[in-house]
Amino acid sequence: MAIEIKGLTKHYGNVQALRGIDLTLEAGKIYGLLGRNGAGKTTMLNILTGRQFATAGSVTLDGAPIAENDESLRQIYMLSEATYYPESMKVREAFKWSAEFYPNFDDPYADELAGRFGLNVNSKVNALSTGYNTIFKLIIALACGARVLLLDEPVLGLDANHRDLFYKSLIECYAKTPCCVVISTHLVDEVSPLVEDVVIIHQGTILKSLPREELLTQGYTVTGAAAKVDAYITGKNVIGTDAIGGLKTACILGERGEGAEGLEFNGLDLQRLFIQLTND
Amino acid sequence: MTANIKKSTGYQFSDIKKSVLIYYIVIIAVQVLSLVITHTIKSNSPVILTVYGSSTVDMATTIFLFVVGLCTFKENFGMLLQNGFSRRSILVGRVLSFGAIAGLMTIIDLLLTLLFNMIGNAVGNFSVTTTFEVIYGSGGFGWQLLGVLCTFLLYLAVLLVGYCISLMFYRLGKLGKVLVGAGVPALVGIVGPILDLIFTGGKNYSAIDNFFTVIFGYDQHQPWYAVATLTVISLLVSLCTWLMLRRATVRK
Amino acid sequence: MAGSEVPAERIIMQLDFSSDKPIFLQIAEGLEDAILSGAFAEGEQIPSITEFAVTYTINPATALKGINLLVDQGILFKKRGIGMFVSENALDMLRVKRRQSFYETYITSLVEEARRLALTKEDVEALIGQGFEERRSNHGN
Repeated sequence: MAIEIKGLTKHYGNVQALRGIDLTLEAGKIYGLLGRNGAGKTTMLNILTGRQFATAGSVTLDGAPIAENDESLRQIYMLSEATYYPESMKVREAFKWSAEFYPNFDDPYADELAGRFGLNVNSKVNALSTGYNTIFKLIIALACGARVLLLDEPVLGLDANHRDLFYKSLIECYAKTPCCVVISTHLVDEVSPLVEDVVIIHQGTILKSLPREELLTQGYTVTGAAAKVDAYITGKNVIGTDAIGGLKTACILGERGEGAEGLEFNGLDLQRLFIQLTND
Repeated sequence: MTANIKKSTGYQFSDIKKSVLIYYIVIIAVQVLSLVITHTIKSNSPVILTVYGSSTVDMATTIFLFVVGLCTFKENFGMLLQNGFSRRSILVGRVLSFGAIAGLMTIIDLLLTLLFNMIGNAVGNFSVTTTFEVIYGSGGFGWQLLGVLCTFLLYLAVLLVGYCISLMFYRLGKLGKVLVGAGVPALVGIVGPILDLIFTGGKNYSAIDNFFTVIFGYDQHQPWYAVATLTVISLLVSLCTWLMLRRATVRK
Repeated sequence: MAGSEVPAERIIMQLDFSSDKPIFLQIAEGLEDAILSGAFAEGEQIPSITEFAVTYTINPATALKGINLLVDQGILFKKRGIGMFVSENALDMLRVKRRQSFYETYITSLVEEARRLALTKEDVEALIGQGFEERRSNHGN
């Protein structure tokens, strides 16, 4: 099972939101989709679920086009920032309809999750706070049994406790039935340990798409006396520097070389690497 | 019928159910009230007074269904896209659910008309009739059936027209909304007739008026014209709706 | 015993997600520490992959990778359909392995830091002696 995206392009008038995206998303993997505001994450996910149309390119699930294909569309559940559930619908009714639409929807599990998060199922959708609105959609996503979960900003408005609870519930759900999960978020540090592969999208193109551990070996920092650091980094792919007094830190892309006298080498965590890679 | 179309129809039908129920509660309350008033005036009047009244349920239903058509696009579209329905399933389900609502309400309205008419006649000269009879006159059983068909088609057509209009406004940008929303009524209702009156002495508008009389078969008391016309309207409007829905995308 | 699952919290493991060290290595080392300290006895069952993943909010594949590292070394073994267990001679194997890396892990950096602080070899030896003394008086061993 895989979603294949080929040459995906999207223009809004003169604005190029997506400029030829090629990407494969496989089952049994959790992907971290990272990108700055306006990088094209949501546009890409919206096209994947047929909510928007591509200008060019193709998107398929198991080889079948997704757009306007009920069979494929039903395999994918997308949680978006916007809420498309009717405002006056009660949470309980939304669960009921989800069970009607998704044959594998797990009712008891949805109720259990609602209990865990303290979501009032008798509340109307428009009466939910930002955090609980997200939780409401998260619960449907986790309980619906779709083979592909696209989670666009899944922790919007959630406090630290609820975020932790969500991450744990997601892994629990994923371990039970390994599906394809895509988490698009700005909280890079938090999702970093959850994801197997990282996809970085920048200005409408895929900058990186590879296993997290591999990505992390692609960069490192070197710290030491400014003169020594400057000497060391000449000819290397420096993506950023910081200096305090005579002490300098440089971020470098590439394999970490042999240690040098008086210099300290460190790895880059995902967040720092992301910031350096997507700095304009 | 595929499972998806069935689900889409079921959801979109159940979405309207509640407002239909409220509508009938209001209609029945209003009718009962008017019967009570009629009866009270009749029995309290010192002079023998003939109270004459006439009303139809179906005109109210027609307006109600037009409003329903106008109000059911946006939320349904978002909800169904969120839950993995294609636009085709959404539209087919929409038309089928409209058909079910139109059919159901045709029957309820017929029963209500008969019931109110019976009570109205019992308490005073208060008759409740159908718009069909007002326009085309009354007749035997076959004629009544034709009336039911006409009512059904009318209900279906106004639902579809309302839906199509709300979809058009959804697709239009902000400027387009204002232009069409204010411009079309102003043009058709005010500017058009004035210009027509000045330049052609109102010939065009009376021609249009004539045209409507003909296509609905008013003058000839020929309801089959209306059946054909309403069917064509429903088909054309559905086609327009599909053309707009095909490329419709989500919006916040 | 099969069925009586061991909560993953029993291993007091600190994972440092911002560390240089890959998470699967941290998992493997944390388990080694737990076995060395006796938190898991030889022959005892350890938590499932899912429990590890949920407890530490890490990808199950990462947890699996860490545990497989120890399976490959014979420190853990799988019982099909039941779970993961600590091998009977795990302690011995771990001690041998850790002794081998002791020099690189501790002595090299000790000497490096001592040089920076201008401590002589004798100073360091004295400090090591002091460390053993304190440990003995604190723990009575």
